[in-house]
Amino acid sequence: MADVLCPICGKSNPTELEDCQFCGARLTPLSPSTPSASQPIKAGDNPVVKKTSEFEKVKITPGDFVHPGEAPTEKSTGALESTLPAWLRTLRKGDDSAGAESTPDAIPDQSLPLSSAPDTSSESSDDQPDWLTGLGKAASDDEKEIPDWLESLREEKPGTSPQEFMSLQEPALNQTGSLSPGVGDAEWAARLGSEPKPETPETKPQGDQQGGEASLNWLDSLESDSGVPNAEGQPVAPQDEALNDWLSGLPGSSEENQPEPPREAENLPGMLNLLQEKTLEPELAPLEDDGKAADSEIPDWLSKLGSTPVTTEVPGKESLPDWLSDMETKAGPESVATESNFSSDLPTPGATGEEIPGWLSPLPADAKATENPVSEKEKFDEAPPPSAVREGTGPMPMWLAGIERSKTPKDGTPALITNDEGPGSERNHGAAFSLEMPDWLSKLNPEHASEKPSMGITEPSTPENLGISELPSWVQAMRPVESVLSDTKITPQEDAQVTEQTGPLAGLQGVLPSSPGLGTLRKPPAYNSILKVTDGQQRYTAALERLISSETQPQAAKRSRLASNRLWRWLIAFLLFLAVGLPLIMGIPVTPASTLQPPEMVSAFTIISTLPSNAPVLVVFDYDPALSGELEAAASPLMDHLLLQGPRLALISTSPTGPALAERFLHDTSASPLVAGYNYQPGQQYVNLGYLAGGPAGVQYFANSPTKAAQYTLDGQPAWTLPPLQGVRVLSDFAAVIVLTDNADSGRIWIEQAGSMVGNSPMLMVISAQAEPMILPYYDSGQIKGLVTGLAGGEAYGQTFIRPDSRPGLTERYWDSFSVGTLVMEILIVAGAIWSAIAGWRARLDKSGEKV
Amino acid sequence: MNPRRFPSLIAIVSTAIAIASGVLVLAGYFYVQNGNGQASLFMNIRLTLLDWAVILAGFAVFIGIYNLFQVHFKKIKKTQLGSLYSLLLLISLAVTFLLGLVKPSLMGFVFTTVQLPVEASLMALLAVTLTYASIRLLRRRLNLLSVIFLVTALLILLGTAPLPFLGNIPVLSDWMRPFIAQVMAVAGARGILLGVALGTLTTGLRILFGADRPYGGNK
Repeated sequence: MADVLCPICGKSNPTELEDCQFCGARLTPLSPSTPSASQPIKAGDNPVVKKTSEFEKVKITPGDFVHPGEAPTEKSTGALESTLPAWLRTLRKGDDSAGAESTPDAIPDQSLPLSSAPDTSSESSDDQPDWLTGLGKAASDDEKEIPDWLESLREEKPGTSPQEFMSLQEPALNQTGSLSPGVGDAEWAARLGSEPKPETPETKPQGDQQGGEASLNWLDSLESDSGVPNAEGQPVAPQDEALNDWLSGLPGSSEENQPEPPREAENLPGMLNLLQEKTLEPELAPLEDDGKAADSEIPDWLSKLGSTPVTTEVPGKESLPDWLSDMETKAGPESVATESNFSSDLPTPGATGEEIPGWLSPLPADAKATENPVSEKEKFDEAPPPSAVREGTGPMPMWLAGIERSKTPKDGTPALITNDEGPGSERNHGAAFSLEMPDWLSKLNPEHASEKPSMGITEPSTPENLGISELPSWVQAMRPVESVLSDTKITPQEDAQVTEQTGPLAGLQGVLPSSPGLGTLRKPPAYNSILKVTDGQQRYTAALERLISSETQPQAAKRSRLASNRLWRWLIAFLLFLAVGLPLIMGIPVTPASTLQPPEMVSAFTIISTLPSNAPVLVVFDYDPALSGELEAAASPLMDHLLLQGPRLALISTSPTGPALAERFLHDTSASPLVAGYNYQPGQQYVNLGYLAGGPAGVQYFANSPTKAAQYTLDGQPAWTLPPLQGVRVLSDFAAVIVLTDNADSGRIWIEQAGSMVGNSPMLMVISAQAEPMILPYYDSGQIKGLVTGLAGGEAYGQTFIRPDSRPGLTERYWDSFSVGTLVMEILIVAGAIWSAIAGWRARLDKSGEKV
Repeated sequence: MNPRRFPSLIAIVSTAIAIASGVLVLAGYFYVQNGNGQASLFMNIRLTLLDWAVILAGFAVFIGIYNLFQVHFKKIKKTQLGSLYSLLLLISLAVTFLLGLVKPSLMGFVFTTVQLPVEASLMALLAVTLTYASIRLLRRRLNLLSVIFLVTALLILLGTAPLPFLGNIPVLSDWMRPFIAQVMAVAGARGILLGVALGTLTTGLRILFGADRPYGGNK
């Protein structure tokens, strides 16, 4: 070459100039290839890190971009020549020895087909176009993305004829829409070589993807030779003159568009010739002038492809089949990379506009998406040193860059990085996303970006990282209905408050209601305030109202007009006084003596009769003055009988009036003339222990310890030292206990509290007639040994006990009055009841007659 | 001490005392005496507690007298209706008290000449009132129960008191009246007594368990 083309403006300059005389761009690379670059990399060798500062010197102007409808112009990529792998440089130099030296051991099997065609590259090493310089990088970057089917084809059909090969690769072409990797690197390499189109750094990975589509291990070694990470974006086009003619027959040939069509295009297949006018990155322009491509490192399979005459058209020119159009909806990192490669391989509309299918025409227009080379250059400068992960990664789109930054865990925990050499590695993705994306692919990118971290990097699952949209479907289905139906919009703050911190829902947001209780989230139901009342209910309501209103109306009190009872009361009183008084006054016995002898009375009589003389007997006076007439009359025969035995008496009472009644009974002749006749002396023959307080407790206390319960007599003397109580310390020391009571409760207390303490001593009772039903069961149970009930019982006892002197007692005096008075009372009750019944019946008849 | 918790503390202490007293008295029934025939400890404790109860009951009489005096004194001071009777009551109380202190022998005379006739007269009026009520019963309420009540009363009267010149009615006195008074009435009385006994037992257990606290507390 006599002149050197400027990588920027594309104009020819003398070889002695280092800078372009037109635009000032540097024509020769500053850093020549390292000696190691010319040496093939053995298997297992590490790639050499190279600087990429040369790329920074390439000034890309906006005019360098190919816009839709414009014909690409040839650009010089000599500045990037130094970054070319050694095999490309050897190719340019026509040194096919490198390819010959590449042994199968050093080069992976996948490179064998390409390496078998060193002749094609060696023949045109000097004239090798710039676009081939990026081939090595492309092949090395995406070598892992070789589909399995491609690998199998390469291995199984190494000797396939071009026709057969193309026919075999047709599905791949259809799938990618362009030259798929299966077509052969020779084809796309020739195509790239015919399209020295300036390209932004973002488009460099396009070549990577192309190389990735080729997925050749030998390209990996080539990348190692270059040692420059940016070389991945420089598709090194193997400038093999032996490229097939069928590539040259492809439409869109760059003969009309390129001022200096590369001579290598003559040997390229027609399909590649067609594609030579297409995507050639500006970074490749410096490499074009370098002319040091290692032609000898072209793999055999590429050589075979180049030597195979192919005259058929590229099937990729056909319209996009339906199954390929569906690819847009398939979100997969590999598919994205594939589509990226495909888009980069498309011919520009300006070149082959009439032959490009409609679905391909908008694809090159997306190349303007990366019109800001300056910003991308800055990103390139800020790129970290080449590392195992970052190496070969081109500038990322903004959305992808953001995702990468988020990969770093906040807590400093190193992210889990998967095999970066795998098909889904970040390295390849970065190269894929750095391409010029078509519209449909750009739409897919963010989705892939969101999926990308989940594939390679596992971030700590913090509540902040988990958004509502990330909730699994089953969790969303478990959300309360109120949270979905609620009209209240939950603000982000509220949403953040409901993030579960513990439990199985920890880290999930919006799963549970934000406020406690479901009532606050539930929209208040709207009830119809109109009460639906039926006619029947209305009638009932009206009746109820009338009833209530009648009740609330004040009514005059009906005075019962009863006849004056005062006369009747006086009449009844007079008759009773007369019936009771006349027998007492007259003294004429009108009533025969009682012939009844109740068994309880007989028992009492028997016990009294068996009492020894001078025996201590406890007599309890528990009756009130109101019933003293009955009790004194009932107890008089028994006490007369008792005193006749000459016992020592101990008197006590649980009633405050009892001690006085006891004194009266023993000394008052009006009360009991027969008993009073004995003239018992206190302290000598009897002891009045007075009032025993405490009710049942007092009785219990006295029964357990009589000496402590009643220590003194009524007049204040120590009772238990007096003669009547000599030898008496406990209740059982008394020969008998006689209880005179008119109250059933009082008698029951003595039976219950003292009955168990009397021992073998009998307990007798003289009770009022009204207490008989309540006391009689104790006699039946044997707790009391004898019982005298009322005046009738006293009369019966008096009739049993015959005094020696036959003096009538109080009972006999009362007996006639009692008999006459009871008779009068019975007559009054019967007569009055009959009269009252008739009067009442007439009154009711009168009332009924008035109403009628 | 927290004043808010003071009442509850009192209730707790009183409940504990009541339960302990009941348990000790109950234990005194089962352990009356020792092997040597002397009273057991529980027996002595029971007697002590009973002695305290008798003293408290006797002192309650004085409290009742003081309450009676206070109520009637307020009525006199406010000149309410019947204050004259209240004044008479207070005068009688003071005279009786002074007589009991000065000359106790006169207390028998006052009792037999004032209190006994008054109470006996009031009881006599009961006979007239009951007779009149029985006469008016069928006019105010003519139904089967009223008739049964009157018939039963008549049978008891006829069976209890012999008729003048006739004496006891053979069937009524020796069969009907004892059957009504000692079988039918006693049957009802036994039921009442059993209920009272069970109620007393239950009340005692509730007090022992602290469920009932009539001495103070929430119940």
